[in-house]
Amino acid sequence: MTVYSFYIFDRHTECIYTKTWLPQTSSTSDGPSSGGGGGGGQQQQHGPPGTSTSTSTTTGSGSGSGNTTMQLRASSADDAKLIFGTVFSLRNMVRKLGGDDDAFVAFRTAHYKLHYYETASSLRLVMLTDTGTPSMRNVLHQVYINLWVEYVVKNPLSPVEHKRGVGVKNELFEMALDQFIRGLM
Amino acid sequence: MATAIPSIACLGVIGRNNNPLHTSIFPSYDPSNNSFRPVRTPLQFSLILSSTLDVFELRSRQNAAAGVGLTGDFGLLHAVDDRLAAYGFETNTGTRFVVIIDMRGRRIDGALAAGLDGRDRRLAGAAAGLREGEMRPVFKAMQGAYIRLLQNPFFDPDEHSPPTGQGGAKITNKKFADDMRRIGEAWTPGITNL
Amino acid sequence: MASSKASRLGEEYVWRTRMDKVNAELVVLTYGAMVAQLCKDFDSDYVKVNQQLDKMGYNIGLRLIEDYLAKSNTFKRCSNFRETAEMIAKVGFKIFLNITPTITNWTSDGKQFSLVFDENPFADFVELPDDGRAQDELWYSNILCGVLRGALEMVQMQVEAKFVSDVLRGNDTTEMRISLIRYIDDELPPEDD
Repeated sequence: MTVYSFYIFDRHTECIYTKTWLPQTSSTSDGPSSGGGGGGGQQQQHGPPGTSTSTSTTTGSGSGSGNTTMQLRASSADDAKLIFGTVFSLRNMVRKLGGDDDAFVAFRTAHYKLHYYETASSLRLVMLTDTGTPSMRNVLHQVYINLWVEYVVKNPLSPVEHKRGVGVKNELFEMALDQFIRGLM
Repeated sequence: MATAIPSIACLGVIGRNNNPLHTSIFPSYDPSNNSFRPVRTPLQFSLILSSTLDVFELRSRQNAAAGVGLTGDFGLLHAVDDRLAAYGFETNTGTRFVVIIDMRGRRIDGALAAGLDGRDRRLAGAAAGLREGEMRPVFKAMQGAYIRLLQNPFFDPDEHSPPTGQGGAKITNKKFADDMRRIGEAWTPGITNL
Repeated sequence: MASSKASRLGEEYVWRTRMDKVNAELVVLTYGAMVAQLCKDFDSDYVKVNQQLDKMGYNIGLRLIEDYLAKSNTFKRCSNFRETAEMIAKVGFKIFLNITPTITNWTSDGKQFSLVFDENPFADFVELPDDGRAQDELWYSNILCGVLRGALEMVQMQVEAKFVSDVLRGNDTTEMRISLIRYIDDELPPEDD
């Protein structure tokens, strides 16, 4: 499995943390049969959506990866807004249809899968992975209780409200998150 | 016939600046008119308490040199006369507890005493004098009360023994005074728990 | 039924996890020293002291709720205010103070209840200052009100919490009154141009 990117939104709907992981060269075995953008060759790779700034530098890692669609992306800030808009609408829709107890968990496109986790305190965690990944709900829950609560909430120097991400990007949180996610991949 | 047994005549607490923090005086039995009244005036008790300060200082220097007396129990400080005797205890923080015992403060009926069970007979027998460590439960109870007093966040120790080394206010806490009263009234020779 | 579930959750947490423990006296003395210092700093203006304690508690609550959610492993939102009360008393207080206050005095509309504290770990050893006013004005454990207010605000409940009696003042019980004012709606993303 591959994790492409990870977003945190606070209860004021602001994106307070973004992280992208460079896509690893996907092997034939774990690359599913998605008919992605026309790269040609049998070794096909699709980059993560919404990582225009970083993917532009990664073209060297995968030989001949044809993620032309990705280049069309605007800045990552806009990505975050788009993602939030999407998950927020989906979550509301899910609740309308399935009752307040129902929860929006994930959706999947041809290229990626989006995982969503919301805490009772309205913190929303979003993770984008490849399509073959099983539910990451548990992983996001772990990120919340073991990383967010431990390293951000319990850091007395970080503010309660993380306007523009203040206090989130501390070394402990970033390192632990990176380690945790890389451990999954 | 009646036997006289010891009782507490006065409890004193002295701060580390040699300032009086608390004094409780208890009445003794007076056979002349068969009533209870203190054997000394408050001023006289105060003087007795003051006179123990020198003994405390001397003892603590001796103890430090000899490396003994780590419990803080200084035992008999001085016998004032054939009736009154002062016992002392010093905490590591320099607060001192003094117990003044009246050796004939209570009276129990001798004939009655003969029919009593073991503990009370021992009690009657103790009239002759007090054994070593007899005061320990008293000091323990006093220290307990003092600690409870200090644990109250609104009690300000510096107000009572300022670090300047000069003076200090008396303890006005009612619960502490009640505790002292209870200890002074409840103690009899041989008691192990207050 | 909901109540048994809540108390089971609380008990379970305490048994299951190696809960970090802190010496109770350290907590009591720390909190006591803080309140006493506030009283000094505000020149025994106990109304201000109450406010200050509430504010501190509020800031604690804003963070504590996250820890609560992480520790209690509750995935589901409480479906009504009664359930919330159960969770506060039997899980929240159990986890953080190892006490379980009693829930009583519901109003018929289910929007107000009282927590009665049989024991209050903050108030051990405490005697209020004997100045004739503290007994009537100071709510010694007022920080708890703030904590609840802050924590519940984070889970979209605006409440008012205040003490109505305190054994330290000579009352028979220590009772906190909590009233639900409203549920806070989700914040919507700002409109894009």
